[in-house]
Amino acid sequence: MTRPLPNRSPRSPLQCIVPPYMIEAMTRCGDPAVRGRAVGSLACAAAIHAVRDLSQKMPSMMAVPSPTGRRHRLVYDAKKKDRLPGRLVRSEGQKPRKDVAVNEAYDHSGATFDFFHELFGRNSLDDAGMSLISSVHVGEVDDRGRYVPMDNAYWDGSQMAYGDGDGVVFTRFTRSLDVVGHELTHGVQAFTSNLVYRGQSGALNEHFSDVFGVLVRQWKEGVSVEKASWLVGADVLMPAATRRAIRDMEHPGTAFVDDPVLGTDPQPAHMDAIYTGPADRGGVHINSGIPNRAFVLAAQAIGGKSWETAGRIWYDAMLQLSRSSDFKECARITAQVASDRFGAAERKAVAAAWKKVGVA
Amino acid sequence: MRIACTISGGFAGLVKECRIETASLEPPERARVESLVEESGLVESFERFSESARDEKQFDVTIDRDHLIVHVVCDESCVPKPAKPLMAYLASHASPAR
Ligand SMILES: [Zn+2]
Repeated sequence: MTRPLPNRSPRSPLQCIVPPYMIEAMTRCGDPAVRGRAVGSLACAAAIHAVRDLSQKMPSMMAVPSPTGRRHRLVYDAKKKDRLPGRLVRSEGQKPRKDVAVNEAYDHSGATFDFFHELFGRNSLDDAGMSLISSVHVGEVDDRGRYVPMDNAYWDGSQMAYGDGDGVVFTRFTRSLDVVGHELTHGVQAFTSNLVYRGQSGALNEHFSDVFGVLVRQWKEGVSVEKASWLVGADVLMPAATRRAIRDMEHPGTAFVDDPVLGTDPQPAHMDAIYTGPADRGGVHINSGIPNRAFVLAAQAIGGKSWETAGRIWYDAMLQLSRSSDFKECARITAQVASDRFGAAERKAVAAAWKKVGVA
Repeated sequence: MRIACTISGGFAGLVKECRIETASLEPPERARVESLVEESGLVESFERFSESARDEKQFDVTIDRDHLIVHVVCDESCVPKPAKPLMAYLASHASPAR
């Protein structure tokens, strides 16, 4: 039997908070009713912060266990609102629905579960059989306060959320297996290295999600490295001559060029061009281009099927890194794992790949 | 009133910027922007990020009202509900950063 999820406020109460300055101003209000509500909110906010801090330290607290301890998918329809998870529309074992986004979220999360389970013996994100929860048709507020389809996909700390895109640049994010694999890998990371989402550790967090998102697709297609595509999110972009994908792991910085809406792909392919500004939490989606390219170079040098050797090395490394690891640490650990698990040739391939992108 | 905004992150990791000088806008548009700012409730600076969310968009907004400056840096889930229409307006007027 499916355990119902608690109904959550827009996004999650754990992350959606009234700014303290507003609540504090209300506590000084002359109206006692307003004052009372504000004081209550302060207490509530403190509780929310406590829960949030705890969930960060103990993500298992947020996990909804599978009733069978095995693969267990739950797909919800957010009905174009930002209140998660929405209405449950398909559970594990139920037949496909008419709604293609529901079936894509179900199928792709299943493929990602199977990938981690079959290759690495991992039982879901927490390795303890937690349910995979997806919300589709997630909306966002526009400039007139109306809900419109969200132009994004994200992991909220306990589940996946997918928008349908604006239909001009982005289409529905569930279309892409590598996008779904990317989001679920954020979930795996929450229970493993949990790399701090800022600067180089944050770029590694994004990097591992890109790596395993793409590897799930390659594994599903059964393609070897010579024929593999390293594009991320190609399926969620509306076609145009100025864009091929959201990211290109093999050639960072070339996924889109002079696009009227997207601009030019900002990803660096080498440490020489690393982004150091404040945007994107210090460039987590930008600087991931550097380790992404290192992974592709290592996989190409090793040959065969990328998930078998390079993927295994990166999976072990993801489990060994600490929250604050940087690119150098990742290079050291991947080379060490390559040596320990495979041998000198693999170690050489991994070390050479990192050197080529300027991390040595 | 001057508004400077950088929107970044999201799954796509795009960086977009928007600068608005309300004095240079047509009166109806100027009134609209000022109303969105007023209704946003953004009267004090803050910086706040979700610890556990990934791939959310990041907003970095500076509002300069006659040298009264409010600077807000946060990700999507930390945008106060009344400020969401303002953020959406800024996002719809932003262009790729150079
Ligand atoms: Zn991500």
